[in-house]
Amino acid sequence: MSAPLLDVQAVDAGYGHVGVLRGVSLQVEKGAIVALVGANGAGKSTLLKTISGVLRPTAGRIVFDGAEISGLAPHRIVDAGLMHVAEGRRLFRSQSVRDNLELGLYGGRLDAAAEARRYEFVYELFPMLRERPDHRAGVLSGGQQQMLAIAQALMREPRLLMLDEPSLGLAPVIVDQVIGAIERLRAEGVTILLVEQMVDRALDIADRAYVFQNGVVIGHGAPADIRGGDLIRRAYLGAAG
Amino acid sequence: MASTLRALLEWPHLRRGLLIGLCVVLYVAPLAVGTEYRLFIATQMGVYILVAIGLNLLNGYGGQVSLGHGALVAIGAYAAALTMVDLHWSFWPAALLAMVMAAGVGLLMALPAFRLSTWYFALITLGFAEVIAGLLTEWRALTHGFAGVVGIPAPKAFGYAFTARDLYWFVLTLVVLTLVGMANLLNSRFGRALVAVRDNPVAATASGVSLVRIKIFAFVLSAAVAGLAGALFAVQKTVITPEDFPADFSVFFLLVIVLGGSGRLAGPVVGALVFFLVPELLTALQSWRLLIYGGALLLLMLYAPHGLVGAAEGLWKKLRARLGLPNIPPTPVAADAPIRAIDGAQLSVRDVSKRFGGVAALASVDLDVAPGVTHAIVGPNGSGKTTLLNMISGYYRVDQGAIAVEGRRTENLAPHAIARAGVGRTFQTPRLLPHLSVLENVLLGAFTAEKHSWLSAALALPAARREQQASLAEALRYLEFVGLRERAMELAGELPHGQQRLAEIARALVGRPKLLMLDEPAAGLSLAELDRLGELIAAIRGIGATVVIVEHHLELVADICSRVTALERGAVLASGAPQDVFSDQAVVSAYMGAHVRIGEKGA
Repeated sequence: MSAPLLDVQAVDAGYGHVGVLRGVSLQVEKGAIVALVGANGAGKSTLLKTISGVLRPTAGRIVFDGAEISGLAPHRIVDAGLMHVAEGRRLFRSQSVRDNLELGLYGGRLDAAAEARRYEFVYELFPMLRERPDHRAGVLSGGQQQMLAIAQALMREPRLLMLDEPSLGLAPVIVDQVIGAIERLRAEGVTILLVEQMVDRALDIADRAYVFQNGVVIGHGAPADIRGGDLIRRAYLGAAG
Repeated sequence: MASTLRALLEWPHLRRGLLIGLCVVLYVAPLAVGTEYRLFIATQMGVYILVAIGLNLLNGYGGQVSLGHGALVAIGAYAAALTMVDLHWSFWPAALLAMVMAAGVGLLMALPAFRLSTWYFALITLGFAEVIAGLLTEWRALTHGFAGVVGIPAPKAFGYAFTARDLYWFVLTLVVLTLVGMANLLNSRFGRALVAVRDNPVAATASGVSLVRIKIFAFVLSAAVAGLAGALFAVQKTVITPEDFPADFSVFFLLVIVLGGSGRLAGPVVGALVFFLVPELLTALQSWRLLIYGGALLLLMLYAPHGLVGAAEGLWKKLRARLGLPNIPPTPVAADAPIRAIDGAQLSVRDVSKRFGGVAALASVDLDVAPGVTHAIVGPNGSGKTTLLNMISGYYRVDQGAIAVEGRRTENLAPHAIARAGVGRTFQTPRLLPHLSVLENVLLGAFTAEKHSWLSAALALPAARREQQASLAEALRYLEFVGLRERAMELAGELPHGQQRLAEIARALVGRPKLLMLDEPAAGLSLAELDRLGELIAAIRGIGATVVIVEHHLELVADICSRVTALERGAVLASGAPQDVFSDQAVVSAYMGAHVRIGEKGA
């Protein structure tokens, strides 16, 4: 078996003196969709932030495509091809839709034709963006902002895309589109690490899944095994109850 | 060694014990070491601390930058000095006048604060300080110009004139009382409202806090404290001249707060001591003073952005963590009582339209919700759901149409007035105050339920405490209700997204809303939390409140709502029972998509 694209090795991380993740190890194979599931507060978003360099691991290593990235500045990690769509719609609110997409290209090295293809790609994914390129991001509805945030991350052709709750605030019909888009991205060779509370939807498209509880990976495997097993119930009810 | 230290740190009365010990030392000290010079300096420190405590309320907690606070001290000092010397008033009415005059001027200063953003406002206050400084020298008929006011007598009580030592004790007592009152006040609904206005004005208004009134309150109170300090300044120095109040006098107080730790109760005390006392000790380095200040300030910003007190708190927490002690205080205990019923309100939205520039966000929308009904609004992203909620709660003005809650028209009311009328709500992105605990955030929701005045809060009168205990009990009950009681004392900003939502619902519930509006409460919730949310909303309906919910989780909607309105492009697409709306072909194609089949589950 070839080396995984992303290899998280026994990582500890947290905020200030508060430890959240303890000894988290996880592998994402090239071209796969890997889902992270678990109750709120289990550490899924913290892991994504640690991988993208927003947080520094206090122990362990993170290897992306054979090179260690733990401790690198976030923009270096983006340059390496790893893109993170964080929860909470981090947009340039006073900039237009089109400018936000253009900022998504910042630092990339695409030629004009490739850039045009990226615009076409995200416009096809979210036609709403094509309809109102001049609207300021701040005046879009919450769900529209979520679409724009995802689209922005797709502009630089990431090799690994980390999505934190992409369905948040989206109408069901749009959730279908986003799920479809994630599958399409995989078909195009993009590797995806997905955090999603609509666990069924995530497991429908995932190749593998990791189950988190209280900052620890309590199990992983194929979606069918995860669904059939006892892990999910433990992860959600154990932490919440 | 470590175990004795731990035992000491674990002692529940440690903080109180230290403070009382410190007070005793300060009260007894003049008997032992009270030379004339030391008493003078110590009394002056007390006066400065008093000013800084007042400014901390305005700046540290209220977030308003005032560069004119020294001018308020000058007004207090001159008001007291002139009435005592020229009109032969005794100190007590003169001090009262000083407070009233400073408070009146503080009120005038507050007015531009409602129109200007922080830094423009700060410039205005600086200009104001300059004007006062000019008046002190130029309005000679009143102020005696450069000569100043000479021969200000000491305060007298029952014919007995205060000695320097009495004055020290008097000022010390005032400082202690002000600190205690301030601590009580900041722990009350007023303190939380102040922080809410600073950190999240929208959350404040949604809890029924009037931004205007809270800001005026902070200005007037902090100005009155400055006026009192001015009166003490006058009697302590016995001579005041315009040179006592240079323009940088005001700036110094702001620095004192930053140095000590703004928004921290002990900040102004520590800041004033360090800022004014250290130079007295280092008189030999007089000419280096500004350089030392500059360097110290830079270092402080780098290494202790929350001031000296903030840095000390950080070290304290580190020490406790190292000794294995928790840094989260225990949850306070409160009497348990059942959740009281609410009379749900009827909501009627009639022909409401809203345009943003050229875009019609809502086009003649009607919505009727009967009392106690749970009604969902669904629709594609950008169809106007949140806009509709914002119109009902007063954040957007209504272009056309009428909105009534319980038959009372609300479309022209301010958001806080609508909240007071019984309309509570949550937001799509939870609007909590990240630096307050979860419990304090929930207590903010009780702002309008509590009726006690700021004075009874500051004095901790029994009536106020009873109300606060009742709110506390209620807040804890609702935290239990949403499953967050264990995390009540953690900072709200540290909760994961989903739990922030639940905390926000608890905050809205504490205000006992007759109409509760939830904007996408299920977004980002885990399966277990979704179940809990469903139960929660059912329970809220059980209490009797009317609920309007914007939500994309259609199974949740079908489970808990008896009516649904679907919007598309700002207009009502369909309205009725969930099974009818969700089988409406237009709704399915515009909104639901192929994956969602709501009707089939039950059929």
